[in-house]
Amino acid sequence: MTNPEHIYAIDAYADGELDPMRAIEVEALMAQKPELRQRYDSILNLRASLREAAAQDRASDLLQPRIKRAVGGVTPIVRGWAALAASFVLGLVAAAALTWVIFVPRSPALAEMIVSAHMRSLLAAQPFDIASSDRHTVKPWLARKVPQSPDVVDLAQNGFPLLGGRVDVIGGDPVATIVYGHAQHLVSLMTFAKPVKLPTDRTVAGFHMRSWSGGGLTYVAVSDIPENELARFESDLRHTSR
Amino acid sequence: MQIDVTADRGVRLESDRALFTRVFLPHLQQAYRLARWMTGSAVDAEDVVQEASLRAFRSIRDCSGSNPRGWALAIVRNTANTWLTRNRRERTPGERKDANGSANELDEDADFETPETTLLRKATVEEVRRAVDALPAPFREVIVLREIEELDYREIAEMAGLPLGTVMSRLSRARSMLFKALGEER
Repeated sequence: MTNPEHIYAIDAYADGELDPMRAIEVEALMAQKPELRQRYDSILNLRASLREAAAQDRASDLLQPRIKRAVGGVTPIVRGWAALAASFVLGLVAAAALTWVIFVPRSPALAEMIVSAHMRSLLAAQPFDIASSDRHTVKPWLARKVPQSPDVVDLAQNGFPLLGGRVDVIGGDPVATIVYGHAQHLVSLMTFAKPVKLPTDRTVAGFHMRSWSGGGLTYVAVSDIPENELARFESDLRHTSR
Repeated sequence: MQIDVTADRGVRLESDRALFTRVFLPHLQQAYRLARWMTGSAVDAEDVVQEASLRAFRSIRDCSGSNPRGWALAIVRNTANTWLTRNRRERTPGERKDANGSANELDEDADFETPETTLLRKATVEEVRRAVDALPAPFREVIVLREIEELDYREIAEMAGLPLGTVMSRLSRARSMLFKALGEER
């Protein structure tokens, strides 16, 4: 059994990830151990085979015109006051969706998954994957991780400073979560791209949840702060965004 | 007022399209290749790229422009993964454990197989395609991003939302699996 450390070193060497001093060490190691040298050569042969195969792949010439046509019928997500008219319509849609959400059977499992994601984040070294109080940092980071990412607003003036963001996986779907602080407590704001079956407010294991919809997303705030504080968080957030 | 808004939106749409043409379209072939290898299908790859273009265009104003290629590929990657989740069960049922993998396959600290005792010679295009396609999705993704898209560890870690160490271990294990599969074919 070869030492996995050595295998990583060979791979990193083959990938050009080592600094020159470390590279010299790995070269010396390969000279001593033929099986490592062989792995290195195998990596290069595999790479050549993969690139040769990939070189044959070309999208058809029809793809670009097809995309241009498809994009022609779409408008990017509009921000600012010009979006008001659009968001009014969205609001109606959201209200309809919310009605539907209320009437579908509630899933207790979902609420528990949400709370356990929040609890897990409290136990982790830090409750977010990206730490930043700058919403212009958090938003693009989330946009790279999940298909539909929310607007990120800072509520520092309302007593809920933005701390960062993370991606939770709830029921198999990646969910963009924005993390806010409040005194010594944390609030996780999870955003679902599809309607989730959750009552508007609810408590599991001492954690309160509030859920609402807007802009095509469903929001769930979860925290151990008092219920009325969480309600204030929701209303502050809804007033600040858009 | 209404007219102003419409005119303003018209101008913005034009510049959005120009931006899209500049930041997304130049990477179309790369985007296609990524989707092609992630989905294992030439036909599905085009659908994935088209869906990714729509997503890209909708969020074009979030593109900071500092790394348009990375931005475009990240969207294609996410779209391909959504596609895989949706179509997982329909592909070669039972044969592969796919995106969820088995506990063992995704255990990053699992021991490596006994290292290959024979040198991997160059494989044919068909052999390589088949072997990559048989990898569980998380392993297929890192090897494709590294060897075909030629991204470095840091770029892969950021795009896949993984720690650097996980990228390294997945990549190494993907290679070991491919060596094993390709070694057995001959």
